[in-house]
Amino acid sequence: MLTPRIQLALDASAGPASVALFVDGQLVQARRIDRKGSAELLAPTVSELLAVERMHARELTDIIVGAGPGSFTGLRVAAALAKGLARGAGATLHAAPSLPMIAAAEDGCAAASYLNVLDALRGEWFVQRSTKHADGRWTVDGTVERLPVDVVRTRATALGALIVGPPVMPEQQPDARSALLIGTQVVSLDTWEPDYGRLAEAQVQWEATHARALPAS
Amino acid sequence: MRVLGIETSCDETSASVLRGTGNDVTLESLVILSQDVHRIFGGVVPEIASRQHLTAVLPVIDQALGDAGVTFTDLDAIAVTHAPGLVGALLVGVAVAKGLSMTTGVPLVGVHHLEGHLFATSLEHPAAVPPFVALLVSGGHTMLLDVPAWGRYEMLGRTRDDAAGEAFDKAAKLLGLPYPGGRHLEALALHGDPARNRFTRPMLRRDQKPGDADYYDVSFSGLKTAVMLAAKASANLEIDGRHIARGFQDALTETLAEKVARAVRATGRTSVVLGGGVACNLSLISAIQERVGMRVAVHAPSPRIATDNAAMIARAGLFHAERGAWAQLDLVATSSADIPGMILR
Repeated sequence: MLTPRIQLALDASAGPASVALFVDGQLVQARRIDRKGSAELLAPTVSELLAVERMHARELTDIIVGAGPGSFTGLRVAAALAKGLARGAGATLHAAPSLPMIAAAEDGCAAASYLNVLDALRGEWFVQRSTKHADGRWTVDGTVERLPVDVVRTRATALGALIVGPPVMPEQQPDARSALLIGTQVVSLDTWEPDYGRLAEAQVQWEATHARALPAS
Repeated sequence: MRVLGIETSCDETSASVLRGTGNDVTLESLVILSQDVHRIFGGVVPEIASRQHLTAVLPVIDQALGDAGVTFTDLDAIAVTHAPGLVGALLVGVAVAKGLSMTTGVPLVGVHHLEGHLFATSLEHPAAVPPFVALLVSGGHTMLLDVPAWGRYEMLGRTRDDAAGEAFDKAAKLLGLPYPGGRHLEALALHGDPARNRFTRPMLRRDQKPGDADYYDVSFSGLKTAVMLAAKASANLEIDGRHIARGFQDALTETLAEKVARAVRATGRTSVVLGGGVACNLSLISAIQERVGMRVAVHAPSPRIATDNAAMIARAGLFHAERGAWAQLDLVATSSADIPGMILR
């Protein structure tokens, strides 16, 4: 008898954080954390979900973490927890783009093209396109961009795509429940880091002043 | 017990393995990765520090385990700094530690960074155990404590503005020295004439009495201003800088030494323990030894142990683990908190 794959997905790229537990790709438990400091509640929430399924964290075979963009702190806490879990369990670490988790988490959404957006502040949105096909498959189209809000709206009209995400509907959030639908990528436990979507402000200013990239540490 | 320590409170990513019982401990490994990038900015950039911790923390932990020749199954506790410090940086260590603890079953201990510094010196000096008077001097803190026993810390005095290390770095910057400037200023002061720039010893008056609010407290912002004025008045800072550095260092170390001597007299302790990044400043150590006399032992850490490191976190973690003071998964990272067991005066 084959050992089941026990897959844990985490995302804390937006205000609320989310956790989902899968067995051989089937969702068995999911939780969204809407409270302040949601990223810091990820670990107890993971523990609760495992306890409900009478599983131990050491049984985890795959850890999938939301890769961003979004909240610097949220992304980092989820990534650090995911790395600790994967290292301790000997599990494989996967990254999943956070934005496409918005549309894919909408139960019963139509086969269509979606522009998934998150507030990037300063009048901009992070945006990434995903498509739900007629057979129910999802594909992620292109990379994350940071664009002025009106540009995203114009693009949505041109593509015939639907804009989804908290700036247009607060309850539409990236959700770990949909992590396996949108495709994941195996990443290095040691060197991987999320796509924060922005450099640190001090780095932006330094690079603007010196007209070159910040030297590697 | 064998403890893995993890420290990510500022700009050092560190892990360490330590084994022992009570005060009988053996350091099995210590890995410290310092983030050089902050030199460019002249100070630690919290967001950059936090990002670098995330990519450094597992390799550093793996190296510490490898150097000690152990795996997670050999550990009895995972101790992690959870306060005080840069929250974004602390969160990385705390979240990784939680993940490791959940999957390996090794229980978690949350350690206060400053309590770690109190334990640090005992890793190199077995006699640096309570009771003692402690002077914690780092870039973020300056505290004078009476330590009758591990876990019991009575606050005698603290800085009212800049920490000693912060004052060193700011004075160094005013003198055009590279960041972090403390050790550059100390090196420069070696060549200075102590009589050329004699600055007022801050918050030190002959008529101060025990019980006075400023009897043990210190303040370094005025000293920093004095350095600024002296630097501005200099026609040739390249020459005068060494004298100003000497004047600054003498004023700071003599002030701290006198406050420590007062604490020793008041408590009757026969041992002084220094901790924190400034604790390995040789002028400070000799100034304190001179003021307290040869019948009082002064214990100072080496630069490696004085800086932020995970060995001290593992050592403090061992103390709490032996008492079953385990942390739960809701352990919070926080930028400020009193040392557990602290009695404020």
